Amino acid sequence: MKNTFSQAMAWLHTWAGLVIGWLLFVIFVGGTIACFDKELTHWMQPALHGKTPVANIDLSRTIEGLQRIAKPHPHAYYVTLPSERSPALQSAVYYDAGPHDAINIDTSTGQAIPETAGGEFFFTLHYNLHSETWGMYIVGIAGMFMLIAILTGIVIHKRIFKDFFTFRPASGGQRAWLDGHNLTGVLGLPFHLMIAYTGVAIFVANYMPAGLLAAYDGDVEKFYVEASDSYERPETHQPLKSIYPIDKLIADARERLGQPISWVSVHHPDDTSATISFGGDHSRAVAWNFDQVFYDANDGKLLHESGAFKSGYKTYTFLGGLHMAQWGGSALRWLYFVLGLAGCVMIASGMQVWVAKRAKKVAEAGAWSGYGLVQALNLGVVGGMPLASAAMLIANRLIPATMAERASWEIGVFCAVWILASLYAAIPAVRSRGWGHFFAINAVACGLIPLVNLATSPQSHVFATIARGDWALAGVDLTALALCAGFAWFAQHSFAKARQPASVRTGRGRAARGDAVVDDTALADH
Amino acid sequence: MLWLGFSLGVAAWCLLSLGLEKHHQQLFAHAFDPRRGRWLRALGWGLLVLDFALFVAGWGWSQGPVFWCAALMLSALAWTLLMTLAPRASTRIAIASVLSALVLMPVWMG
Repeated sequence: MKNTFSQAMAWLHTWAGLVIGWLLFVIFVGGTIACFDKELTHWMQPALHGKTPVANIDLSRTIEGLQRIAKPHPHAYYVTLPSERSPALQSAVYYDAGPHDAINIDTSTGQAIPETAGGEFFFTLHYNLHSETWGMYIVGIAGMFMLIAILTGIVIHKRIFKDFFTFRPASGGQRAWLDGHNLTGVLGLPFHLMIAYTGVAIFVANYMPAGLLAAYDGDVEKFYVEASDSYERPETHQPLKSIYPIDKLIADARERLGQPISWVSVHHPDDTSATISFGGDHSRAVAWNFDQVFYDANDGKLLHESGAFKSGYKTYTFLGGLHMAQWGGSALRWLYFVLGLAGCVMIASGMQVWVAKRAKKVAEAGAWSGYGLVQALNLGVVGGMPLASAAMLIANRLIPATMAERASWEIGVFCAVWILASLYAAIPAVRSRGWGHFFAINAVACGLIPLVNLATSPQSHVFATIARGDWALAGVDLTALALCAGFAWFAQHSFAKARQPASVRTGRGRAARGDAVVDDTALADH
Repeated sequence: MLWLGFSLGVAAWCLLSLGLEKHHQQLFAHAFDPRRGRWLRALGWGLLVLDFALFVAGWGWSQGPVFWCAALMLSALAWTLLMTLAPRASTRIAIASVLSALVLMPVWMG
């Protein structure tokens, strides 16, 4: 009985992991980068670098700017004040459906800054793949698969304590990949479990809507307003004469909330039902900070102060905050970032175990199977996504600031590089040459980020930012250099392995020796 | 502070793994003594608890445990890689990291 049970669990772990692994890898890379989404957005706005944001901001003027660009029937205006992590004044118009319109302003000049996909691109990618509702459901399914893979992984790992500290990279092939998978999986287990569980839990109302729809008779909006102690009033369809001067309210809002104001929003801004609300940021406690005050946009009278949250909602905000890591400062973000990288290694090495385990059998049988597809997908996704991300950062510096639809071009570069990398990985000759090649390309791309930055942006490159003590910006370049070194090390390791005589090698790596030598010298040139 | 917490974690995992025959042999030539192994493991657990107290003292009850947990996962990974890639220097590096954190402590506190 026990035998069949653990075999069943092993089967489930293998196939649940493989089927969802590539998608999970994309989600993990996106989420890991999104630990520093605001810092990355700032890095991608070189127009702001070296400038100090102005402390006094004319909010009414900012709202007027939004009124000028708003399409008919806006749902809400949002303005986020400059902060240490995001020095731009961010403002946007949201609609009931469709994409929002945004303007980011340099407060030192009052000018709009060139648009960029920013770190937000990776943040959005990791929770909905830029595909709205459908993407969110797909990511949710991936998260649930990950929970299955984690639990079955614990069940089938018979030496979980005995092999707690065990890593044998020298043994090569399947053994080395499996050790790497087990090591990052077991030692990072609390993080993986937490991040998968809270990630799914954030969208619980969307993933499991049955109870909610029954209790609220299908009115989801009403549930949210009640649960988050928010305030919403129905539209009157009477035009609002003018929005009450927001700057007059901000001192009162700060006092009522007892914390610095980080954003202001105007709901139903064209209607007499319009409200003005203020809130703070999430930096002070683990749980999300949803304390808000609401004022009537007609006359500035106080309508509602939120704060009476029930314990269920408090639990929800705690789980969400635990996932998002907006508290604890950059120290916690670094811990999450490195743990996220460990998660990426866990997923990638797990899929490589699948390949390594079957390498011998496939080589002997010589028959066509899904083996080549898995191998190509491993290379294309695991090798291609970091490459595409690096290309996007390089594109940010090379696309002219005046170009229309600049953010779309950045995303276009990301997609194009990834597609090319995947096609390249699908060529049988490239595929069988394996990882060294892709590691080397990634090392070059990561190394290019600080170099292109140095060549194009006098206020942004690593020497200028370190001289100013602007470590958030310097951190992006330095992290790119660290990734470059890491990829180069892996590449060299793979090439060294491929050069060994076939009798010494175990597992995969049927690379032609001549090719590997050529690659290695090519790497040495860079 | 984070560096001290992290390096204490490395030291704790170091003691815990040296308390096991398999890893003791990986690092040292002399024979494994089971009684000494028990002591090393007990010390390792003690350090983990001390580390928890340190993080709670530094970050409070709601944030401290999360920091502690994250730092422990990374220090375990760091120690395992260190033990595998640089077995000879590993214990000395672990001791040096704790000492460097203690030496730098007054700089951060002041």
